[in-house]
Amino acid sequence: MKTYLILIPVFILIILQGSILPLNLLLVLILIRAALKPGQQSFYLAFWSGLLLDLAQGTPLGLSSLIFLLASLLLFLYSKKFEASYAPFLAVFVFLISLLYNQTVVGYLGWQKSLILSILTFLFSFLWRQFVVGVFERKIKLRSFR
Amino acid sequence: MREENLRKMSLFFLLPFFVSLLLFFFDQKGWLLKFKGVFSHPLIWSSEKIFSTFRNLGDVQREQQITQLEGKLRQLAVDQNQLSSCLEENEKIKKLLGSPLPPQWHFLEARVIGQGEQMKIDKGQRDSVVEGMMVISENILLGRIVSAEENFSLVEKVNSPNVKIPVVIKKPGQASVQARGLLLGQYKDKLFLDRVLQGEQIQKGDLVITSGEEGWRPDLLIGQIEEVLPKSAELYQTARVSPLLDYQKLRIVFIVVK
Repeated sequence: MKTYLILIPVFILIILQGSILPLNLLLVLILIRAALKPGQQSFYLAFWSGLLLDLAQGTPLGLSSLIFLLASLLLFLYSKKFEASYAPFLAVFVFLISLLYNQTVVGYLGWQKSLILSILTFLFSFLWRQFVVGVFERKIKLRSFR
Repeated sequence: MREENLRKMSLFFLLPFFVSLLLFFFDQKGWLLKFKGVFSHPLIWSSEKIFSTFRNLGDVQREQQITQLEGKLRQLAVDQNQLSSCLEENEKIKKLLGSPLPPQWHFLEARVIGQGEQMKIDKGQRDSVVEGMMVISENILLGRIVSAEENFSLVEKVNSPNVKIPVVIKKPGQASVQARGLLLGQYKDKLFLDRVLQGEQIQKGDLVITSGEEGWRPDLLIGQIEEVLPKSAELYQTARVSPLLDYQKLRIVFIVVK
């Protein structure tokens, strides 16, 4: 899958969050991406997404970028020793980062929204592991048998 | 090798991190206003488009809500109307019960469903209404039933030119009869008092009450003397009488059935 395809949902979410969407799904997307594929691209994605989100939302420029980058860095460091895409961990991580984001950018914790994001993250990462990773593993096993 | 990788990754992180910090700092200082204005324009334009589309969708829902609410409002108006009718009916009944009418009289409530030369009411033969029954409101005589159909009846009002009612004249608050006369109806809510002997004292404000002769029930108020006409060489005095009720505004009346 081409890596730049991630930009399509990123742009859509930025515009939606700048207009009607009350949930910070962009944060979820970036963190899931960073957990599944930690590295250089995740940092750049976090940076540019944060900037565009600040422009769309009218929040202080660079603030979202900083939070996204820090969260991506933490995930990156965690992934060096543990499995960062582990669904329960990722859900808790998203919940905490969402609380931090809300407190910093909006001025209140907004734990309900964070909880919703956390549940969505859990479901997504769980399903991702079950289906996508599972399919790949099966293919690899089949190839090794041949 | 691994440390080198980590250092490389740190650089990938540190560069955007410091750029973000700088941007945040400049933005706080207000040095990026123009930059933000230019770059945020397409994003805000797209966001506005989406928002307006979404709001229009909301408007459709709101219109549906308004339609539903209007329906409820109409229903409420109908209910309120029924309630006010009941209230009015209740008031009339209370007044009727409080009026000094003979206790042996029985009444049938009727609604006015038409006002022409004759008043149309919604009770007829089906409700045991027969011709000749008196129609009153409180203790004021309105007329007499001249035609009873199956579902409705026609009432000849006391101001009809055909009506001639033997009456007595009393002063308000007094039981004694001042004079006797004959009340003649005239159209346009006018009544005319005739056949009052010259020697009898009548004056403006006196009450005109049925005497109970010629099939008319006694002691029913009809009107009040408005003006005693100048005396002439004739044997009788005459007066103009104004009805105590506006017949056009009546909605509920009572038929004296016994």
